[in-house]
Amino acid sequence: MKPLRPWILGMGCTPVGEHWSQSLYDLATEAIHAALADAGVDRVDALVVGNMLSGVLNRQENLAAALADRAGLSGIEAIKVEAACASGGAALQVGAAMVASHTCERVLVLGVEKMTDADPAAVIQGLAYAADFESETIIGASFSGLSALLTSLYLQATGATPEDLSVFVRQAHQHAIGNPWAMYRHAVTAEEWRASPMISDPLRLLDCTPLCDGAAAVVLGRPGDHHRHEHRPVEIASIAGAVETIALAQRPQPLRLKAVEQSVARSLERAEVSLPMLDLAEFHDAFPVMTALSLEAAGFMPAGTGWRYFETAADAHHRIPIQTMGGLKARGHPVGATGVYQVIEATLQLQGRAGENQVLGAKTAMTQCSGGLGGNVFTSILRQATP
Amino acid sequence: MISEPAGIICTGCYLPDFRMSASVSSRAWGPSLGEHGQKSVPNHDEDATTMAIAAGQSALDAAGIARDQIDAVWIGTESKPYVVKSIAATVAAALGLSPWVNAADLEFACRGAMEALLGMAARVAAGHSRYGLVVGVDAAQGRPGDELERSAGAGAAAFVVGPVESSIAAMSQAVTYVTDTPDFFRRDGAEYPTHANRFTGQPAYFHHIGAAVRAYFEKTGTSPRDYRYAVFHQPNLKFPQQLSQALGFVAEQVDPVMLYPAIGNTYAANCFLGIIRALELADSGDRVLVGSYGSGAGADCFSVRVTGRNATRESSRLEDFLKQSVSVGDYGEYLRMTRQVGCRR
Repeated sequence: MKPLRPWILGMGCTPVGEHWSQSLYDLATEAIHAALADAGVDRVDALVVGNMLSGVLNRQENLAAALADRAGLSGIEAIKVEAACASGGAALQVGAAMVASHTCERVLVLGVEKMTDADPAAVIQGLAYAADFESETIIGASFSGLSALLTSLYLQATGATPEDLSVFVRQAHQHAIGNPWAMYRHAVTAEEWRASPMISDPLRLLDCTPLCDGAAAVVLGRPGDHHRHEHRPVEIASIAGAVETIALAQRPQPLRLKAVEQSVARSLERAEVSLPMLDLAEFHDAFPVMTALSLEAAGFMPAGTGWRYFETAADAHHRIPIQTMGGLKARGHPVGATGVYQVIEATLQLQGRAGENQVLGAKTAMTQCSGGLGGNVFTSILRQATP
Repeated sequence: MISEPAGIICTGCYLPDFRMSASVSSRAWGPSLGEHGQKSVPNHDEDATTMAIAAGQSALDAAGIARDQIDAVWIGTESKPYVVKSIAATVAAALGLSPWVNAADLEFACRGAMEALLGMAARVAAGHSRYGLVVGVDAAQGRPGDELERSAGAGAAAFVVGPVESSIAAMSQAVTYVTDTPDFFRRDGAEYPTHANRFTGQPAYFHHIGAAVRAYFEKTGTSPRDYRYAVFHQPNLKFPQQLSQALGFVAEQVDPVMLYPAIGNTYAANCFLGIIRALELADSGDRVLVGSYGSGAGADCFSVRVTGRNATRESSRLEDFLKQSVSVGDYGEYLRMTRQVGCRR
């Protein structure tokens, strides 16, 4: 039987940043209303919320009900999905499955995170709950600390330098300039990167994603159920997740992101596309080493060479624009919302609406978000649909 | 038309002899993300009371008016040695101004003293006092290892406030902007204050002072070029630099009155010392803009106009206090001097 592939009927988001005057509820409501208005509908059957820290930081669980009610959607069904930094991608998986299975006609998938009103130490601690508690978090590991270990290992194995990896940082910032909701719409020079303070050797401040707020929403529905005929329809060709051992030290090959490998392979298979058919990709660039390793695990670059992606002399299996709207690094990483921002940005590319960042002729895109350092990965394939 | 209901008759100040470079904290605790210079450090026998008395004495010496002409002493501070017991009463007694004196302690984080100054100006304008003494003083606390430890300084500054016609600087009416903003606080019983990191920037410092200054420009029909100097609250180096640029001031208006690199953040004395510095440097007829800030949060904006009777009204120069300093190079010595180890309060 031919699978039903949901269409993206509408989308909306808040700028990513430090929204001191907006609560978790304000951000969510703004994105929900923007997405509904963009889709031209006033009702959906379900709300699926991707969020990681509402209990720890905002003291609000039962989050989906609280947000649906405030957005004037009382009566619909609503659930929160949590998969650490991949919560947005996981929520999309659930929402798309609800449409594909005919459980619902239209589902609003919202990703939201509100981090800035909390004590930064509490935010760092909360984020660290995505690591393995018994072997990592309990001894005080933070994500920048764990990423620093992974980065050191990568540098040792490949001969790359921290500055080599910073090419991903500079490129992301360059792309964010053209993204109206990006947090850092400015370029970063190699000199500025070198001058930025050391956070956790070898990671500098400019290697790390910011703590920030944001909410992004998409309305998913059945093919043909769109009201905005001026925009080219985009379908979710597939979404596939994969998990692996969370604890870095317990992975037999820490430099091989197996969950990335598996979720990419599955998503390509389900979408019935191959790697060379992709025109752009959005990776989980929370730290530069994650971009390099994801490029390798997804099959774009041979193992150990991801850091050379932009060198034309390096042999890439497939080279396409990545992080086209700034990525996590420069658009910002409002944890549970990131996966939904990625899908909105890729959809704009496929609709030819990405402005100065437009990837010409883009028909098929991949987005990928990762909970922890590749512990829980969701990969989506989006493509232009035929009206 | 700028209304000038009262004026500054004379100034006084006091800074402890000791300075500690932020690098001493960094050697103990690791590097800081911020840019700091050095800060003034009180010795173990100095606190808000002793420094307020020293600054008040210096102002009275310069005032050249009889003690019984001064019938109000208002003190702004957030580091009273006694949580309950008036510091103003102690200072008034030590300066020979009691018992027939109005005395009040004011607290609004770093702008408590600004409340005292503006309130005293109103009291003088209303005819309730001929002259009043106001003091801004703090021996600021920062938890060992906290970013605040690099910046929290100590010092005192005093003004005798009186009629404009005998003043060295005429004070304009102020615009004040206050909201309930929890950017920095110390709960009852807590030993050190808590600060809200990046929340202390845009939504707190920049928003409040920016609002007050813009409203003041509108109210007075003035703009940055009407002012020789601009004194903004200086909790660090970056904030006043960024704010003054955003408001349209240039470095020549701000840098000469920037005391942070030399003494750190002296809290309630911070803006007062900036005003004194500006009065030392300014010429007759110059106008100086003041943008104060206190966490919690509030900002005031007003201006002072130098009347030309400057020279004889200072018994101790701030410049001299800035020059004389003894360096504290040892972190243990610093902890002992500030009574964070050993003999407690």
